[in-house]
Amino acid sequence: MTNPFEDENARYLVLVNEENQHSLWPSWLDVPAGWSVAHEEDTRQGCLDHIEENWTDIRPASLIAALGGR
Amino acid sequence: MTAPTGADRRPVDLLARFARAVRTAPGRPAVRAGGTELTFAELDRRTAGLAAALHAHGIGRGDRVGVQLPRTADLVVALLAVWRAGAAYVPLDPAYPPARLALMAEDARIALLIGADGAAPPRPGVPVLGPDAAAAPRPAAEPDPRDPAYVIYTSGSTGVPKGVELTRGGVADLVAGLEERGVYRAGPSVVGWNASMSFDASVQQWARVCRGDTVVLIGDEQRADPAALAAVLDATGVTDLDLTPSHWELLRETLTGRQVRLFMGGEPVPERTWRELADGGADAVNLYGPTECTVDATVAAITGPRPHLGDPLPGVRLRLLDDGLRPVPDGVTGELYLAGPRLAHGYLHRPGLTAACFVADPDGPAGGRMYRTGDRARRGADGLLEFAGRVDRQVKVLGHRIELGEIESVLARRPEVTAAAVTVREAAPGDLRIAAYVTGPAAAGGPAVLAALRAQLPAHLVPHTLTVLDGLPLTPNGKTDYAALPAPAVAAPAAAGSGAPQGDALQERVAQEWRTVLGVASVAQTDNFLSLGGHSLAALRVVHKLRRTLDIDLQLRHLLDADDLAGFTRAVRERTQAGPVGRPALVARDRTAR
Repeated sequence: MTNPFEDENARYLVLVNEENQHSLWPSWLDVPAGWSVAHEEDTRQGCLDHIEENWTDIRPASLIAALGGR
Repeated sequence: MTAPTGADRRPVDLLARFARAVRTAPGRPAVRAGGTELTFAELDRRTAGLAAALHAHGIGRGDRVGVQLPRTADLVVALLAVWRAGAAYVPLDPAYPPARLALMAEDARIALLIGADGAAPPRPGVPVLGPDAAAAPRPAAEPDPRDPAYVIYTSGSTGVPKGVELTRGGVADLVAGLEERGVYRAGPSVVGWNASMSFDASVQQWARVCRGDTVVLIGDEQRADPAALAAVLDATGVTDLDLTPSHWELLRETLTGRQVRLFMGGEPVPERTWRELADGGADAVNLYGPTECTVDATVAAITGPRPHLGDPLPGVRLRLLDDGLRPVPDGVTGELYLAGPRLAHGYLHRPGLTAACFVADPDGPAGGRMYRTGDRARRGADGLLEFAGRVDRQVKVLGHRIELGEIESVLARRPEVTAAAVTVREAAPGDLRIAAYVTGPAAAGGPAVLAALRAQLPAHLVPHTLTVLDGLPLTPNGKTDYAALPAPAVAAPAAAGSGAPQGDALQERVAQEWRTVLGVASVAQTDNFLSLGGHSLAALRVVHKLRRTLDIDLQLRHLLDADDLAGFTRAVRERTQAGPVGRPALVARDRTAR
């Protein structure tokens, strides 16, 4: 059994939700409700690179706002 | 208290519950540690003062505060005060190597350190407060359930530990869930706090002070010394104690027949231990859960013939999925995914890793996430959920979660080492040892490499054996063939030829204990205990036995600090000459996680 998130040879998407939380996502599976595509189909590493560049604070966006950027 | 159930659960924040506990019984003991006792009123006063001092240093919501303190009542004061200040704590175990502490403190970007007097901050430039610091209390900021509560570092497969950031709401949900399931009794209990604060199991114990329970710190000198532990249990009336199955092996005789509820966790309960507890009528539960889901995700009463994980706690959604994220039928092994309000925010400053592990949930609320645990499990024909191993190379040794890849990375960074492979081997049933293999010149297995491991890794990650090979065995597609690694070299090569026992009765007495505990036929005066495969529990057995039979004030550090058998024997001889000292404290550091 290969975990669907760990296949270096597979194609992936990057999903994002309303809280700006990002998720790696197997391109061959349906996108779950409440998530949209932030980065189109790419290699696993390409998707991870996109996430590292674009998601700089892993906390939920509304919490970051409430904390005033602390 | 009545707790809401289902999707509407909104557990009460633990600080609000603490305030209620203070009002209800201000004179009840809140914390007991050695000879120190703090009532709820005293703990309230001290934590309010320290929280105010933190505020005065600019600490508030969203900040992280390092806590680098030994296991005394001050530790509870510090952890609770950080929460009162609205911040999250980062446990920094004073026994960890300084390089490791610095790495964690820097990664967590701690804004302040609560440490003992004179402690040098592991992150340059951050202010240091003692646990006695105080200022005039001010009203606390209203917490958000998503406010970070603590950051726990776990072993990382790429060679760097990763910080998991958990939330205040997650901890409140954990406590409420354990109450709803009856794992915590309704009335005030007396909780033995056994786990190191570096492990998330500790949260499940110390935070119980917020619901009015008395927390008894099990000190390093007590947790591994059965007689000392029995004395603490007797003196304090502990009703609840957490421990790993490995720790049970040491404490079996002390705990059997006691009216103490045992919280087993940290590693799978072996079948023989399960049956022993079940058949003996012990009041014991098995708790399973990754750090990333706030300590415990499932609970099972330890009854019946075989180990299982039980059912998810309230607030946890558990799914067994296949490689297409479809639920697997009963009897089929799948990977365990967890969802619900207890999920961590993720891994600090590791967005890629976070997005690969905390993933979109196809079957939960819109926009929800689930955590893939890497644990495999299946539902048996009788409906019981059984653990079925890992999908990766993470292992549990004495309750510690270990990524073998992290140890390999440290080895591979050494100039002497060409290639490295690390695995675990079962030296005896249930006795797992970390075995490291390296290729390169003889120096690859030498003292400099061992010293580097000890300087960079906490003790539970340091391999028990280090073996130099001509080459690593490979699978047909060129990857390391871990199954084909040979049995580790047990004796250090330098020991050859010097192994003949010689000298006096004491020397032979000490050597005999090593042979018995390590299960080896012979030991040399130049042998190192750890290099022979000795681990912390084995070391405790040796020290405990010699203390008892020789009636001397021998401590664990005498064994762990000794370079070799000769050095340890010298220490034993010195203690013998010092004479018996009643029942001294055994200053032991049990490496068991909880």
